[in-house]
Amino acid sequence: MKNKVIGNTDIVSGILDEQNEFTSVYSKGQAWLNELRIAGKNAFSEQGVPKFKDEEWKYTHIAKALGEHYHLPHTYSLPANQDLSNYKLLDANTVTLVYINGIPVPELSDKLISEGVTAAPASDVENSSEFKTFLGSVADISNHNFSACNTAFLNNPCIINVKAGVQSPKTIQIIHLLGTDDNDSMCFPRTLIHTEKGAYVEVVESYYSLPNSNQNFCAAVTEIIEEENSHVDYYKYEDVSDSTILTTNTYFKLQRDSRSESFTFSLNGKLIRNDLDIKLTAENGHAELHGIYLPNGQQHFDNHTLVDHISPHCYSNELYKGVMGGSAHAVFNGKVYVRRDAQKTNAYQSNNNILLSDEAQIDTKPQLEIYADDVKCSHGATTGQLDDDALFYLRARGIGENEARNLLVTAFSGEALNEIPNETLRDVFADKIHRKLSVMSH
Amino acid sequence: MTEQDKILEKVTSGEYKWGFVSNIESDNAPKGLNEDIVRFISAKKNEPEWLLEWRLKAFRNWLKMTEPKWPNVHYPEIDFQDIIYYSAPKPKKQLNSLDELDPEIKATFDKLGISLLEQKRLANVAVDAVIDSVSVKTTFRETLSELGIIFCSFSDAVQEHPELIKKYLGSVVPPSDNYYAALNSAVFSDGSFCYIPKGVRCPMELSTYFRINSAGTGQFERTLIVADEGAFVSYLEGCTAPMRDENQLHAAVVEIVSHEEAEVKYSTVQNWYPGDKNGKGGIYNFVTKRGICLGNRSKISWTQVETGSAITWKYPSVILKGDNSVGEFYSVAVTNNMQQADTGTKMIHLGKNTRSTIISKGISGGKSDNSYRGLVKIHKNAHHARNFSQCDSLLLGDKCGAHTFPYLEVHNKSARVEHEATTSKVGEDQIFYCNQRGIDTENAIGLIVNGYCKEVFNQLPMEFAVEAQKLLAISLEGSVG
Repeated sequence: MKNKVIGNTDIVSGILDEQNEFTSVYSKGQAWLNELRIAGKNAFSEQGVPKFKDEEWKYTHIAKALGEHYHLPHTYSLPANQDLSNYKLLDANTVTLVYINGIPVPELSDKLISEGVTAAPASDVENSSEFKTFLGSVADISNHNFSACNTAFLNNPCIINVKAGVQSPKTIQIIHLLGTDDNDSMCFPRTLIHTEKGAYVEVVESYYSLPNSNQNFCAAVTEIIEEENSHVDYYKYEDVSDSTILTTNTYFKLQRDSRSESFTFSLNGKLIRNDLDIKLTAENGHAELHGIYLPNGQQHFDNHTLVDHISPHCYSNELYKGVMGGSAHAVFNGKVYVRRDAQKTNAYQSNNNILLSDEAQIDTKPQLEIYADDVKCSHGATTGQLDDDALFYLRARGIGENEARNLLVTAFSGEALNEIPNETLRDVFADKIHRKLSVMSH
Repeated sequence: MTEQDKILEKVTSGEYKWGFVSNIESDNAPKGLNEDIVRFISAKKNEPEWLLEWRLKAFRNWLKMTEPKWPNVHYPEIDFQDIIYYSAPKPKKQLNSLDELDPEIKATFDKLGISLLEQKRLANVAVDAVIDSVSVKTTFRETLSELGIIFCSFSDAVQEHPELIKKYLGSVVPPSDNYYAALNSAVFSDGSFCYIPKGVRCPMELSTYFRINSAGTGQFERTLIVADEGAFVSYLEGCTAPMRDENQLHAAVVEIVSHEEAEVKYSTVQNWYPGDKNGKGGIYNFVTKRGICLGNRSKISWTQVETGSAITWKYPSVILKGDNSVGEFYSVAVTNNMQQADTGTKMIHLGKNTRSTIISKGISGGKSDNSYRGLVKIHKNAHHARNFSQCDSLLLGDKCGAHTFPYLEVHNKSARVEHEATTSKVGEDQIFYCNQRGIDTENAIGLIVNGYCKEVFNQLPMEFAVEAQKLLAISLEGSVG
C-alpha cells in the first residue's frame, strides 16, 4: 500500500517483536495457520498503524492514542472473586464461551459440539482444519491494518459452525475479558462463524475489561460466512474500561438468499473503532445493520460500515444512532457501494445524532458510490439536539428535567433498538442505555 | 435495442456545438513556467512592484506543493511546462465604440449568442467579455460608475484601484490555499473585478463571458467581487471553449467578500468543451471559488450549471463568519460520455445563527462519473447554526457512476444539520405515464430531467435560466423540446 502512511514506527516494531516471540512458541502447529500468520505480519509491517492522513482514519487519531509500546499479557486467568454472571447478557438457553485476552478459558466455558451445531475453540474441534477454507477468507488484511495485526497473532480462534438446515436452538454467547494488571497489554480475539445451507444461528459477542486492568489494546476480528439461504443474527456489545482501546473488524459474506442482522452497541471505552464490512455476493441477499453509540466524557467512538452490493436484487438497510455527552467525540462513516452488475439494488442508510453538551462533537460521512443505474439508494444524516418543545411538554406535565431528557433520548435511541429481533436482548440493551444516560453529562 | 435505449444513446452521444476556432492573432508568451514567465506576465500587464512580488511568492509556494490526488477523477499527469501561460488577442488599441471591435471577436460573440450590440440595445446585462485572458471590452462601465460601482477587468482595476485590490486580493483564497490556487496566483492573466459601494443595489446583472481560444493555453483568470455594507449584486459567469484535441487546463480563482447586510449572488453556466465521445480532448476545469460572509446578516449564493469540461473539479464555498449570515449552493452537474465531475461545496459555519442550504443535482450518462463532495462544518462557537443539504443523482445509463461524499462535522450542540441523498434512474413508470398522455419517450425524458433540475434553474437569473435549459437540451441532445 503506497498511499498508506506508516504510523508510529516504535509501536509497529514493538508489536512485530512480540509477534516474532509469539511465533517461536506457536509455529509448531499447523503449517497453514502459520502461513496465515506470516501473511498477516507482512501486511501489518507494510501498513503500520494508521495516521490521520489516512482518509479512513481522518477523525480517529489512533496512533496518538495508542502511544508507545504493547506486549502480550502473561496471565490469562480470571481474578479471584469474579462472578461471571456480571458479564452474561443472556441467561437462559445459551452456550457461553469465555475468552480472556483472546485465549479460551475451558473451565468457564460451555462447549457445544453436536451433530448440528459446533461452538468451541478451534483446538477442541477435531477436524478444525476444515475451517482452513474459511478462516481468513473474508478478512481484508491488505487494507485493514488491525485485521492484519490480528491475523499475525492468530491462535485458537472461536469456531461456530451450523450444519445445513439446522436452526440452532441456543444463542451462542462469546464473552471477551480484556486486560491484565500489568501495563500496556494487547490481545487479538478471533471468531469465525459459518452457516451452511438454510441454517440459522444467533451470536452475541461482548467485550469487557477485567477489573483493575491497566491500559490495554484489543484488536478483534470476526468473520461471518453465510451459505445459501442461511441466516445469522449477530450482536456486538462493547463495555470496556476508559483505559482500553478496542478495534473490531467484522466481515460478513452473504450468499444467495441469505440474510444477516447485525447490531453494534458501543457503551464504554477509551477509544472504540468498529469496522463492519458486508459483502452481498449473490442475488437476493438481505443485510440489516444497526447500531447505537453513547460516548461520554473523553470517550471516542468510531463506526465505519461498508455495504458492498456485488450482485443484483439485494437489499440493505442501515440505521445508526448516536448520543454524545461530555467532551466525547463520535465518528460515523457509512459507505454503500453498488457495483456495475448490481442492478435492482435497494440500499438505505440513515445516521442520526444528538449532541448533549457543548464540548461533544460528531463527524459523520454517509457515502454512496453507485455504478449501476437501476437502483434505489438513499442516505440521510442528521445532527441536532433535544427538541425544546418536547422537553417543555414533558416538564409542563410535572416530569423533572433530567427525567424528561432521558425519556426523549431513550425514545431517540429506541428506534435503532426496535430493529433487534431478540426481545430479551432488546430489554437488556434498553436497561444499559438507561443506566448510561443517567450518568451522561449535558 | 428498445426505443428507450435508442433515445438514451442518442441523448448521451451529442456533439459539442460550440467547437469553432476564432482566427484572432494571439500575442503568446513562450511555453513553460518559470519565474521569468511570471515576470513576463506581470510586465505585460504593467503591474506594480508589490503585485509582482505577490505573484513570485505564490509561484515559489507552488513549487513546494504537490498535485492533490484525492478527488474521484482520473487523468494523465499534467505537464505544467507544456502550457502557454499568457495569450492575448493582438490588436490591443483602445476601443471607443463597439464598432471598433475586431469583427472576428464580434462574430465569436454572435455565435455564442451574447451579441454585445444586442446587449447594449436591451440595456439589461453589462458584459465584461474575456477572450483568452484579456478583457476585450467592458460595456456599461459608465452607467455603473455613476452609482459608484466599479466593474472592470482585473488589470484595469490594478491600475485604477490598487488600494482595493491590495486590500482584498488573496483575502479569501490565499495564494497558499491549494495547488491550483497557488498556480493561478502566480500566473493569472486577467479576470474581472467588481466593487459595489455601501448601500448600492446594482441595477443590472453583471456578466462575464470566458472563452478559451488559442490552442495549448491555460486560462487562469481571477475574479474578485466585493460588496460593501448593504450592497447587492447578481453576477453571472459563462464559459465556452472551442473543440480541440489536446486537454486544456483552466485553473481560475473566484473570491467574494460580502460585508454587513450585503448580498452576492453568483451564477455560473459552464459549458467548456467536454472532449469527444472517447474522452479525447476537453477542458480540465480545476477551479477554486470561495466567498466570505464577513459582516453580520450578509449572504452569498452560488448557483452553477455544469455541463461541460472533461474534468470538473470545484467546490464553491462559503465561510459564514458574520452572525446571522446565509450561504446557499445550488448546482446541476451533467456529465456525459467520458466526462468526470467531482464537485460540491463547503459551508464553514463560524458565526452564530448562520444558515446554509445545499441543493445538488447530478445527472450522469454515457461512461461518465459524477461525484458530489461537500463539507458542512459547524464550528464550536457557531451557536444555533442550521444546515440542510440535499444531493440527488440521476443515472441515464448502465455504465455511468454517481457518488456522494458528504462530510458533516458538527462541534456545537445547538446545531441542526440535515443531509439527504438519493440515487435513481428515470423511472419506467414516469416515462410510461408520459407516453400514455401522448408525449413520446424522447420528450418525456427531457420533461423529467428538466423537472428534476427545476429547483436549481429557478435560482438562476431569467436570461441564464433560458440558456441553462438550452444547454441541458444540447447535453441531452434533442430530448428536450
